[in-house]
Amino acid sequence: MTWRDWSPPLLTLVAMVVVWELAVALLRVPEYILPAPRGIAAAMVKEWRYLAQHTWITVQEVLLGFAMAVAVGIPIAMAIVYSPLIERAIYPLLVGSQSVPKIAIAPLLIFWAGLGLFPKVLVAFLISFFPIIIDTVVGLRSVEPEMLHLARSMGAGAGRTFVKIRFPTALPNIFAGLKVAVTLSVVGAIVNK
Amino acid sequence: MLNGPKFVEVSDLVRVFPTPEGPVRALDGLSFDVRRGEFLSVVGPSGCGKSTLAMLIAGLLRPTSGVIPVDGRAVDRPQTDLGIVFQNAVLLAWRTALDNVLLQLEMRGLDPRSYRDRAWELLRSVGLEGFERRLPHELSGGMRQRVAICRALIHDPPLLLMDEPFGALDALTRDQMTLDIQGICARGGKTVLFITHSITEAVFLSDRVIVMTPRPGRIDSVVEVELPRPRRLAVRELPAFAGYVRGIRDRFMAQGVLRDIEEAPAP
Repeated sequence: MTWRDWSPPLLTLVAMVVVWELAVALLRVPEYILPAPRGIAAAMVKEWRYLAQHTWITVQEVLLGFAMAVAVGIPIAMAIVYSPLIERAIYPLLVGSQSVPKIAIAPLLIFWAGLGLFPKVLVAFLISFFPIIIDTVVGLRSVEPEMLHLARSMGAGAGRTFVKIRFPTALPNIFAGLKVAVTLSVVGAIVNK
Repeated sequence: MLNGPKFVEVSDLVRVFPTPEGPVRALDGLSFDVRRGEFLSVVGPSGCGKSTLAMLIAGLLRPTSGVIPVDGRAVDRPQTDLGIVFQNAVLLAWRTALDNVLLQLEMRGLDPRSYRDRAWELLRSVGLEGFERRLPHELSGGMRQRVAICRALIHDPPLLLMDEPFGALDALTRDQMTLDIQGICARGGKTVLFITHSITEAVFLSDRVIVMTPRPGRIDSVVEVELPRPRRLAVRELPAFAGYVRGIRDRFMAQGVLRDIEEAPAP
């Protein structure tokens, strides 16, 4: 990263903050509608201990939810790819379940799982494991059929074919899914507050 | 080559594919032998079941009926004592040319290190010296196909199945690859089943050419090519060569696969 790379976004950010500050001052926007950046910075300095503590809790919720989504999502994706029966049994339900807004069931989750860390982790997990499954399934399926024929003619079993061919081929898709999932798990953890 | 022992014996082979519109007969009662060390081509129109035939011999598909003993043993599972080359090189994008060749051994659970020298040598023999460490996207289509050929040869299999291996290459590269394949197969004493659309390619490379009918695939005729080896590219201008090509082309005309123009003066 050079100055050429990070100067445009940095300058844009500075300009936005300046415009914000000026707009709040010139238009006399009350603080309870939109505080000026200077006021926010002051509050952040004053309350840093409280903010840091809560940021840490949110980070924990996000990371735990995300880790659960990876740990559950990738094996489910593998099961869907390797077993037509499992695919037919759970894939439609999985896609259908996504039409239920997770935010709407958040109060229920709190009712079931109590207050504290767990329900927030659960929402972060529920909201983020779907893109991981979908992208991993797409990735594992993107291997050319000829490559799988070759693997069999080389005498390789399913395990070795997965490690040497299928999984590495799927990695770009898996990472794309993780990228979407990690942002969603942030949303999930925060909304539940 | 034609009087060597039988290596692949195809007898009364039928393969039917179920489709939503009903069963489709891809191969309908195919019988032929491939002799050890023979170069046998199968030429036919698209959809005549040529690729299905290769898949059946490789044990990657089950026949609906009929048997295929290879080297005396009926094929009932994926065969491993062969090399396969497809129309696409299907290389792994994150592996160098050398490592793509060595994949063959890793997948077999063998130690790729003990095959390194042989892999270098193979790559050099197909003109890829200096490209061993390149990734597939840095290679031309012809180079990638050469890597795929080396991968099919690294374990020194007695049988080579090639399913339209030059189908995606430009005409000049095809000519060079045809010559290279001739050299490789003559040196290694390989038995080769070569599947192609190109009559010229089939005649140039083969000891025998099997002409197929359109779906359902049956054997139309078998042509023995008696041209001395090694064959230079110029052999294609010889009257004898033209005679073989015309003979096969006439079969496709008789089938209606090819239709010549009618109102032109005969040459």
